[in-house]
This record gives sequence, structure tokens and C-alpha cells, in this order.
Amino acid sequence: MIPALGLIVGIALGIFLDPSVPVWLQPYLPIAVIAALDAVFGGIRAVLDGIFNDKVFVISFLSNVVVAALIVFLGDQLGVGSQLSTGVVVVLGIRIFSNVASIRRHLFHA
Amino acid sequence: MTLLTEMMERPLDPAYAAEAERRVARGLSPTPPPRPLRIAAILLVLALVITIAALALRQPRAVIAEQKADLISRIEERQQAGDAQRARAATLNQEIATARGQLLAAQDLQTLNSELAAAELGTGAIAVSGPGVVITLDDSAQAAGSGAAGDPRAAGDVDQGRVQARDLAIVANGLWQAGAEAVSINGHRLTSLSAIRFAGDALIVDFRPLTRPYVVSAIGEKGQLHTRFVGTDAGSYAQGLADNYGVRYSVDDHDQLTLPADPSMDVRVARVPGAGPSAAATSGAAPTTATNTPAATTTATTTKEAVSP
Repeated sequence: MIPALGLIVGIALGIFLDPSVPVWLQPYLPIAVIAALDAVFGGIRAVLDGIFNDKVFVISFLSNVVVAALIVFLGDQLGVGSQLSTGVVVVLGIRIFSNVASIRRHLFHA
Repeated sequence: MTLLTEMMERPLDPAYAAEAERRVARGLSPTPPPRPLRIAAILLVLALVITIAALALRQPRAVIAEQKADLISRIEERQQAGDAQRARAATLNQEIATARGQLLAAQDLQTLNSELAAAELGTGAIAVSGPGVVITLDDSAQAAGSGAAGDPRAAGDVDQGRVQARDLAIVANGLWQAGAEAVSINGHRLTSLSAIRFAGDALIVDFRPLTRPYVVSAIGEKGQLHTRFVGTDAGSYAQGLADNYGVRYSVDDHDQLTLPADPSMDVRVARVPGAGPSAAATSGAAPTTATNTPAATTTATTTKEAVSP
């Protein structure tokens, strides 16, 4: 109940505040979103596996976002920013897919 | 491969399992007791990040559309301004011609006047009317329907049915060859200084982009012009375009056509031999000197001199 409230408040804040993101930060946003989603699905799977730990969840979420942003930043400096973004999206995307598949097995036994 | 296998087989952060093991080893349950506030805080941050990202990254598209609309409106504005200037130039040219005619008539230089009129007729400096033909060229139905944003892979086929600058140039030259005395394309009079070019997909005549259909009007001997044009290489070329590529092509006889003047008639470099280096034009001296060039600039200056008192 309270976590769901947090989710709703977050979305509402984002919509109503509508903060302007500086241009230099914009390339990192999609990466941050993908990394966050990866952490979320990892967390849900851990819950279903019975080994969820909120500390691990926070750390994996933050480190995912930071590392992904770092890789993209480094790529930008080396002139291969878009390629590295693609790499990050592919790796995290695969992880999201297999985590979702595992969640599906847990929930539907299929 | 190791990396891929690792990724596929153990997508879950190993930290979860490690932490659970450590807790079990210490004699606790594998998961800590639920702390909903902390999770709520995390979810809040998460939702915030995703919402901000979605809002921030969706906006540029609206901005791009706005910029595009702005550019289009600016192009249209400039085009309208250009049209207005052309119209003004045409009116001014008309005034100049009238004033010059009066002046020359007053000074008994009727021959010069008629010579000038004949020269203007030929060069396209004044509007002309008479019988002639109208040739209409249009993209094939297939090419016209596809639009610029069509499938690029289909463009190879579609482009074949599209009228190109070269086609218009060949038709225009064919009309001259067939004895046309004046030619205009979509209302732009062709003169010895006209250019028919293309930029991307757009056809450009005298630096003005054209829209389809392309209407080439020519004044010439009634009946003869049509027959002779069909007999020229250009006539068979145009017929070939229609037969092979589906370009819509028609030739119609008209009893009365009016072709506008080209308001941008100007000689930039050439001058009459013997006359001073454009001295007449810059100083505006000797308005009645018969040796003055028929160039629009010179006549304009002299006429202004004559009119202003």
C-alpha cells in the first residue's frame, strides 16, 4: 500500500513539477530509465524467489544507473556514445527479458 | 560467449542470493522484515526518474514540429514578399516603358521606339499575348500519389514517373526550335537568362520552385507551332516520357495566350561597344542619346531623369 503510494506520488511529482532537464543530462535519461527498469524487475524476481533484500535493491538500482551513465559518458568522450548506449540498452534489455520470463514462470507456472 | 551465457542464465543480481545466504548462515530468515517506507521512497525516486525522462525526451519532437512550422511560415512569408516585389517590379517596368514611350514620341524618335518595342518583345522584357500552345507535364499518377515521404526503397521506381528539370528544359528548347516566340513555365517567362534547374526533388525556374503540374505556355504561329513541336526531338521525347514512364503529358492549342514579362531582365556585364563603361547608367547623363544600351538599368535611369522634373 505505502510503496504503491510512493509510486503514484513520484509520477504525480514528475508531471506537476515538470522539471526542465539540462541538455547535457538528456542523453543519460533513457539509459537511466532502462537501468531502473532492470533493477525493478530484478527486485520483483527476488521477491518471488524469496530472497528479496531492500538494501541490495537500492544498491543495485543506484549502481546500475551510475554505471550505465558512466559508460555512456565515457562513450561520448571517445566519440562512440551512441554505440555504447546501444550496448547498454541491449545488455540491460536482455536482463529485463529474462527476469520477466522468470517472473512469468513464478506467477503462471508456464 | 561467456558474457552472453552469464547474462542469459543468471540475469538476477547475484547480490540477492549472496545476501540471503549470509542471512541464513547467521540464523536469520533469508529476507529481512519488510520496510515499506524505504521501498516507497525508492519507488518514488523511480517513478520520478521515469516520468521526468518521458516528459523531457518527448518534448523535443514538439519543438522540432514547431521549428518546422516556423521555417515553413518563414519560407512562405519570404515567397510572398518576393512575389510582391516581382509585382512591384512589373508595375515599375510598365511605368518606365510608358514614360519612355512618351519621351521618345515627344522627341520624334519613333523608329527608336519601335526598335525598342521589338527588342523588348524578343527578350521577354514586356508581357506578350497571342495564339500558341500549352504543354502540360505532370508526374505519373503513381509518383504523384507517393509523396516525398514515401518508402525510400520504392523511390527508385517512383522517381521514373517524376518530371525532372531536364524534361522541362528539353520541352522548352523544343518549343524554341519549333518557332515559339515566347515561352513561360508556370507563369515564369523564359528569357536568355533563365535557368531551369533542380534542387532535391524540386524544380526551379529562375530561382523559384515550381509545383506540379508544370504548364509550359508558348506563343507562336497558330497550328504550326503544335505540329512542328510534335515533330521535334523534344516532342518525341515528351511522348516517350508519357508512354514509358506514365508522365502525364498533353499539348493544347490556344487562340489567345498572355505571357507575363520577366521583371528581372538585367544585363550585368555586357555593354554596347563604344559607350563608356556604364557611365551613362551611373551618371544618368544624356537621356536622348540613341546609342544608349537597351538594358533595363540604363533605360530606367534615363527615364527617371526625364520624369522627375
